[in-house]
Amino acid sequence: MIDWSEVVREHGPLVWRIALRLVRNEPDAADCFQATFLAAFQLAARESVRHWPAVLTRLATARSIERLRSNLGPSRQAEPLQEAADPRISPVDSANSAELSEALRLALGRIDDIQAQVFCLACLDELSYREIARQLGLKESHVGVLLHRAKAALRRELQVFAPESPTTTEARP
Amino acid sequence: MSDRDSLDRATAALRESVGPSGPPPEVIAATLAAISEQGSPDVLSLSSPLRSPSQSRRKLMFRILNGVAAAAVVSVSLWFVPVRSTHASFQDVQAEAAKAKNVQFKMVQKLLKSSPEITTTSTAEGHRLRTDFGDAMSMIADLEARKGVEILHQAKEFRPLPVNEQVVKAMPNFVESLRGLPATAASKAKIEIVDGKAFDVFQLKKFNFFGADNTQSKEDDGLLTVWVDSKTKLPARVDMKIYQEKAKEWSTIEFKEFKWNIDLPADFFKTEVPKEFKERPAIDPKTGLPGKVVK
Repeated sequence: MIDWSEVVREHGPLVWRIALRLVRNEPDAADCFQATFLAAFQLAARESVRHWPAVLTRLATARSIERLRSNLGPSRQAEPLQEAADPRISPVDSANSAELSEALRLALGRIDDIQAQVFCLACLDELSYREIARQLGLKESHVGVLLHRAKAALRRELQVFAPESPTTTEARP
Repeated sequence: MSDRDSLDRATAALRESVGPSGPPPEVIAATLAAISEQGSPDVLSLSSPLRSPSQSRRKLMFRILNGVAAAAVVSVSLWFVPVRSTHASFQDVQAEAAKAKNVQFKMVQKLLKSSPEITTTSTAEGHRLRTDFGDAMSMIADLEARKGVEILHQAKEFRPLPVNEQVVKAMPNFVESLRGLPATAASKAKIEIVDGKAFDVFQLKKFNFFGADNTQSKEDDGLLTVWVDSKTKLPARVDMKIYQEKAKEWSTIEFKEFKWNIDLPADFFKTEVPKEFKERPAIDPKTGLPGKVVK
């Protein structure tokens, strides 16, 4: 019998971090958080779960990308996260990082859903190809292909930030 | 710098964009409550409670706002802050119970496989105790005044109850029993959410509680489980499983439907009975039979 209070206590911070990172506002993150654990509850009723972090990372990522995509309409605005300023980073670099981070986040909501999931699991949550393949029911080689496509799509989305493009650089404040 | 660098930098920035802070306590509480509801067969029979998690959460939040928010917050803070300080927590329970004006609860006893299940309602207020066997009979004792009476309501009869050690043992005081438990032996097993309300669950393997003593038992499966309302820190349910050495059987006793600090009628613990009630011979504590009492 699974002690769900223990599962939520132990892995809640992980799920919350994934959700908040992608949806950027607490009400949506709370929805994703609850949806993730309810999905995990249903999954655990069907099969035994060996590695909760990987399962919850996958579920939280999928729910958060869903929410991000649905939020890309005009009605919902992401909230800026209140992060402590890192004294080693200049305000300009910090602003650039925030801008890049936000651009990538929004781009993840625009590219193919499964590619976005693979990218998040591989590059943000740093799961291995094998783990991603297991979690998404794919072959490892397919994970590699999807990640390659995701990166290509995201690079296209982020092209505006490439400094070698003088037009875009000048256009930015 | 290439666009590849931009993606790498963006990835690193997004990865680090959220600090290590965890979810707000009310989100955890609402999630556990939702899981708890999912675990209920009634809820599982619903078409799809997962269809709208935000609706579900709002509903739960509403319920929390209606009275259990504090409980949820307390329970969550217990997980994240003093999660291992279980002994102090059980001491808190003992201290809160000691402060209570009175307590009332139902007790369901199944002493042996062959014995019937007995349900009684017990009430304790300081040194005054009362146990009701449905509407049929009440046992009332004032331990300080050393007075007691057994009232058979339907028969309109009563029997004086000599308040001695045997009677005290037969009508043990819940709060005193709880306070007598070794807090250091109480381990916090888990936190449960029932109907959106958080409960700390403590367990003791060896205990002397409410007249039942398993401290010398060779059986290791005896267990006293205490559910504590995280908000009030008062017991909400107690399950006792104890081995009957003579009968070589397990007994179970449930203490439930707790009410703390309630307003009781002024004559609730009154040991005097109405004039029309007839007196029955008292029980001789030595023989357990009606007869002359040897004090």
